[in-house]
Amino acid sequence: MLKYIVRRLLILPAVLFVVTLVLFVLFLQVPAEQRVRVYLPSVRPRMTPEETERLIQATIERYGLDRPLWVQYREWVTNLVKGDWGYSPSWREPVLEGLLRRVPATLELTMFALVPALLLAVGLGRIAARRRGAVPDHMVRSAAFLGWAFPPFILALVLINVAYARTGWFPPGRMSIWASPIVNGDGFQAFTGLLTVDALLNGQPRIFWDALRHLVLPATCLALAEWALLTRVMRASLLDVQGHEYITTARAKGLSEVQVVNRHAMRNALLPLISTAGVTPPLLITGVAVVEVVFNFNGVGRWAVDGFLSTEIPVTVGFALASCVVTVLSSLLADLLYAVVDPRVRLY
Amino acid sequence: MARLITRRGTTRRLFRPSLVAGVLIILGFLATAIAAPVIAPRQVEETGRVSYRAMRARPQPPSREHPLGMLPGEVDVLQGIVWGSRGVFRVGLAVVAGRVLIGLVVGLVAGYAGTIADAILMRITDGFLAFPMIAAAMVMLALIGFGSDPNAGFLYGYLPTREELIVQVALILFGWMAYARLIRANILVEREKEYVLSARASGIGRGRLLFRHLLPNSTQGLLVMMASDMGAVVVTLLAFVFIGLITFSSDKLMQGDWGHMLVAARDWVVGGQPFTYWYTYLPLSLLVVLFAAGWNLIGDGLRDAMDPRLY
Repeated sequence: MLKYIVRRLLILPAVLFVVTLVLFVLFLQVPAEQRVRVYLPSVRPRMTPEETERLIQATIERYGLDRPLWVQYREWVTNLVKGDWGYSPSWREPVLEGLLRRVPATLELTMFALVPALLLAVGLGRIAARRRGAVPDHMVRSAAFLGWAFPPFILALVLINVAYARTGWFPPGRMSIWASPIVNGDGFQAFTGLLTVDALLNGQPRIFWDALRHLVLPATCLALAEWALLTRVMRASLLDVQGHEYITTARAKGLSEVQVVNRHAMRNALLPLISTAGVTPPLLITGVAVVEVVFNFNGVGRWAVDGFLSTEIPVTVGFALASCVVTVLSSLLADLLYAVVDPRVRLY
Repeated sequence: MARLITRRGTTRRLFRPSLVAGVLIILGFLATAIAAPVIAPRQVEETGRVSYRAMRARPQPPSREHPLGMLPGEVDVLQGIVWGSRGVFRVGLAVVAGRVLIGLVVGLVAGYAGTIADAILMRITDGFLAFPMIAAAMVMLALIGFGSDPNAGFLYGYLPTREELIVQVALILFGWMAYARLIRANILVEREKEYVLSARASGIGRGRLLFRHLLPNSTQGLLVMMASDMGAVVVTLLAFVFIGLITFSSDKLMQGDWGHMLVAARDWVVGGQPFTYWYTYLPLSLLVVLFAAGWNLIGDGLRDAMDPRLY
């Protein structure tokens, strides 16, 4: 087990090295004089030319921009590790700070999409596999097929029309206008940054319902593809497991059907679900960005796209880097979880 | 072809409802794309471009001349859909072909060249796998398209703009990994088989062994992946255009481009009474879903034909 974990952990720096190298090589495509501008910290208004010149020189010095490429790469990575991810002029804050400030909102959205998607995938995939070829199976399979083929942004168009424009039930954005002064006011303490949780902790049920209302549509759009994929995997793997001999043995022992499925079949059938869920974060992050932009939801994805559109290279690169780190860590987590759940892996 | 699809070549298995439905859907799109000048002829002005009339800033409801109405700027929706179907095939085929090409090379080398090359190539693959497509596209656009005119390198209808080209390259450059892994896994199985040994014993060169013997036998599942990828690539690209990663241009809109049409329709989704302007986005949206579903049906059908055990 330990050997497996160590070996798996050793891959991590190699992958992160490739990620940073790719970003750095792409970054070198920016002309040198523009690159200095990218590194420049906040330029105060009304600086004299001499001051600007000194600032540029200091920046070149600090990031080693006149040194060999590998030194530049080293300096860049060192700064990243130290937490200096560049400065975003239009938000007037360091990139990392802006990024981290928006993480809770995105995390909340992702949770509200991922948890129901996962539970529904396990439940419905199980039903479909148990009733193979029957009506429930066909219904689940068709829904999963459509869900996989349905682009989230088109679903968003339809949902906005049906559930907002027509009825006003589920508005876009993160909270209503009336809620914003309360949330940003003195009486409201941000414990976690997750608006729904904070609202409950502050004893503000109205804010809670408001936040929930705003989460429904984007979370639905985000969850659909994930649910569809996981449902298909769940169904296929349960069908696969059901054919194994230990299931026959379990039945022969005289266990009830529920026990056979829950104790023996499901435990093994869940394994592929873990590895599949572990590779979906890149898809999920792309989905988050698209959904946040379409629903005007103030999270990391919208921040990154806004930053990109106002040609802020540090924001764009910072988003790419952060999302790569998230992806790498989640696939590591999935692998470790897999090793915990499946003893066979530990033998390697 | 048959060898690529099934090992024992039982063509009967290929006639599965989902596969047939998918092929019919995609053939429909293909016929539309090819017959675009017949289905939706349009006036091309002397300059070779269709003019954009910005005077009519509102969408026009369906009428006799314009069966699906018009987008703002008098852009006929039906014409746009028909001509735009060429664009999605072009993009999909180009990107999938690029991905397959890189995937084949990397998979082949990783699977055959030995453990060190394999380990290095697989870590590189892992690194590229970490990038979400949107991050990759934005980084490429921001860093390589830096300071460039978004429409530079533009040739009427056929060549993509610089921005589109960058996004397509990003889709290729950060999308080949699944193919590489597939080919590598297949090669690892195939190279242990006896025909490889006998081929080697007969004294053929390494290149011949790789390309004449190993590669043709290592394409299991390649078509499945390509088919599902076609739909996914197009949908991803449309999503990127929709959220504004590619600069909107009325030129593109006039030529018929699904992404730009969706952008033009975006502001009319929640306008007036709901569904007042349904024709600006609903027919096209349904077609996008149908296009993606068609490719997925083909992918699923092919997989079922090869491996009827599951799914």
